[in-house]
Amino acid sequence: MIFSSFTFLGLFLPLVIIMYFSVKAITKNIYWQNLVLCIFSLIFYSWGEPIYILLMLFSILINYYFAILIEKSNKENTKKFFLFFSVIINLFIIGFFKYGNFLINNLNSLFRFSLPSMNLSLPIGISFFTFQIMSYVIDVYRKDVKAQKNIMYLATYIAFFPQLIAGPIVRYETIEEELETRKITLEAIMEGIKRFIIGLAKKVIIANNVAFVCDSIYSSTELSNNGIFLWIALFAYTIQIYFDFSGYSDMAIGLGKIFGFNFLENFNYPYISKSVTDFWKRWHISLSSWFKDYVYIPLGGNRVSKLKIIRNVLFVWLLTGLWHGASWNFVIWGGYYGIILLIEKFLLIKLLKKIPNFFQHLYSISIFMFGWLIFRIENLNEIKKIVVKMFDLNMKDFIILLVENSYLIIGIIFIIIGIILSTPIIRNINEQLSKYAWWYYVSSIFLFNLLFLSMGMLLSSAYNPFIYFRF
Amino acid sequence: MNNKIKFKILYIIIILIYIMSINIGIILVRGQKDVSTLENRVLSKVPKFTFQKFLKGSYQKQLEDSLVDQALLGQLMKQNIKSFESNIADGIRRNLEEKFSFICERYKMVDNKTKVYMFGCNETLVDKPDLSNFREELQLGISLLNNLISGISNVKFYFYYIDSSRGINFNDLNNDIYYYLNENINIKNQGHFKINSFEDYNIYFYKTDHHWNYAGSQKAYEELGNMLEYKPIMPVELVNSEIKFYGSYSRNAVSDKYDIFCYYKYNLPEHNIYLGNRKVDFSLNDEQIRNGDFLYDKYFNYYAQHYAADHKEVIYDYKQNNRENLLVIKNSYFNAIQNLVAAHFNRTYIVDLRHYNNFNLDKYIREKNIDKVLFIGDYLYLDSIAKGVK
Repeated sequence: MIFSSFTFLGLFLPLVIIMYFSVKAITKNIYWQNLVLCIFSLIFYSWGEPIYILLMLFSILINYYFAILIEKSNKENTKKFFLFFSVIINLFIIGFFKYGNFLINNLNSLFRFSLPSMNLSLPIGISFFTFQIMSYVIDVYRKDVKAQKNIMYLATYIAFFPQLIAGPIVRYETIEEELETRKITLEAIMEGIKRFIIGLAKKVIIANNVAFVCDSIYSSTELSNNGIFLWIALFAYTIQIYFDFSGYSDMAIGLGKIFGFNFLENFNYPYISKSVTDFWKRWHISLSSWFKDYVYIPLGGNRVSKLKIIRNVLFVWLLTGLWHGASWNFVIWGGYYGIILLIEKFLLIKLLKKIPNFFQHLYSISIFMFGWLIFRIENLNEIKKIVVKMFDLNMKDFIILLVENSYLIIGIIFIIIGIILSTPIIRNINEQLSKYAWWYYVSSIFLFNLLFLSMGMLLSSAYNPFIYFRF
Repeated sequence: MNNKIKFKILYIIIILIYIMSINIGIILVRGQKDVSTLENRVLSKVPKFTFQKFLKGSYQKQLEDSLVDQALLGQLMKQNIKSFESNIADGIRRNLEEKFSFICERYKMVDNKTKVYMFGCNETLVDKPDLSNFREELQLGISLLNNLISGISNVKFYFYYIDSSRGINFNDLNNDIYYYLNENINIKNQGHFKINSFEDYNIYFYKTDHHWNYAGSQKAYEELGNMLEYKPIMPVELVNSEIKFYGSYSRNAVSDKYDIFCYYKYNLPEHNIYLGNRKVDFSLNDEQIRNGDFLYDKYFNYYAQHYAADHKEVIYDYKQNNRENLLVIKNSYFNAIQNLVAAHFNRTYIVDLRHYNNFNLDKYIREKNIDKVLFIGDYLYLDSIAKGVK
């Protein structure tokens, strides 16, 4: 089930809200509130892939016991053994389902084997929930958090539907307290609703409309022969992936608030970054910090020799690439960022700070947009062809093609709107106007209209895939 | 309780009522709708739950489809948003066309999903067929048609091919389709509704529908007279209904473009029309049209309502026993003239092969005492032959 489906918006969400707040009104015992969330979360997950609910339950059960065993063990070696075993099982699960076919295909082509494909669909959200479970067990080992004794509470944390499918990757420590005791205020519900509406609008109004432009251009031989259209497609994808993913995070954060949970922010206007280092502090923050805390720092982080730093950075970024998908273009994409981050770290960052802001932005935008090209186009030869064609800018052909494909015009308008909304301009206006009492009412009514428009847009278009689904 | 708190409570309640009424509320209160006039299709309904369907994922898919179809104000929202979007795109396109007039003579895609195009500066909505392999595409239909008529004697066969926007390219009108059909279909008496130019097309076809308008259907009726040997009845009046007719292309693309629905009025001899054994009447009520009382939904198909829809078998009985019986194997183009052509025969049987499997022409001819058989349709017509006789 995805948030921008009518099954979720028109059926699941009203039901879970009614059940949750009815139980809350009847009993103050948080156990029953968690139980409602847990049951609905399991239904939510099983909706997409009914059979894989067993995989998730298995994963919860195994890690529940490992965490308790780690906490109960007195000997460091025993703790390490349980931790190692738990990590291996988790990596095996994600490796088997996500990377099994990738491995088989590569073995087949490298050694001319003829191993059969596994014919398994990817369990939805496996990368997110596996990383959450691993962080929980590691945190128990590090004594950053206490092992959860109630398995239903742990299941609620792992399977909690707002963040289950597309993150953010919520650390157990973030909601440890809220699982036991949480306060839901009128203001928090209001904030949650507004945040959810903003996320839905980002996904449905902006991301879906620009996705249509991008897909239409790349799938048309005629359009993808024109350099200007190729630039439009790249801008469209850049806007699509940000509004799609950050929209989903907004919806997750908003839903969390409605039920009394406070998730950390996952995006902070990444497209206004002045360097790639800055970009990755603002983009998918929960993933970058996960890799930093659980891979980079344990490998020695920055407190090792230059050579080891290079090794650590490249290793982390190749893993980050692989996390995004079982395909070589993702590995290359990760390696691309690893190399650029190393160049910035050792050479460029000081130089960048000396040049005007405009050029810093230009540099950053060029790097991450090229990154999205590698991300979107899975074939390296195709990327090469596209880059060459992007410098062949034929204005007359562009106008003809634009008029001939006038159905793309709306999407192109949304690219421009998306570019503007990628900057903090609305946030700044909102901050300025918040001084006035009337603004609260006006902005709330505006958001209600935005919800209405999003529903209309959803209805008017059946095109509704979530890019981050496959992760 | 201060005003802000009251507002928050009210806001949350309104949001909750809204999301509850989108699907749950509307289905409980209004029930489930059957059809959508906007989309011209049957709407999905909430499926019955079975565990097997759930495990396969088909229950979830069907439920989502039904919730989208049954959503509160769904049709209205679809219509308004789509037409708002197309109005903006049209405005920008028109501006560009004013500056670059050569663009007029190009196909412009209006809707990517339904592949509706626009051609010419007067914004005629059309198809843009790929005719590069027309020989291969038509081959099966031609051989099936030849098989269908082979060995049948004592009846005269006629074939009338219609150039429509589904079978011509306005940038290259000199295609060989008709000549190819003429050479390969084993029927001597053949006719051709030929489009010589885009201007020609605009005279004889709707701007927003793939069918003939009143002028096109009158021309076809007269041309068929030469072939079938009858003297055409001339119209007594052109009725300008002032009805906005959003044709098939407009409906598909949810466009705001429309034609004014005009039609000729004829004094026809008394006759009966049958759908099977049921007596029917297809034409719109003149009185109501003139009074402006005949207005349905925006996207109502007035063409099908006024002439006839694509029924499996329609029988016209003009009770002229001294005249011949005609069988017409047709697609929707013939609907506009079927009552006129039938007026020159005793009984006219009109068959749409898209509703048939294994149609036996020989048997039909013998059972109904048919004297003449007319095959009539446009480029996609031979597909219907292939479907009906396979």
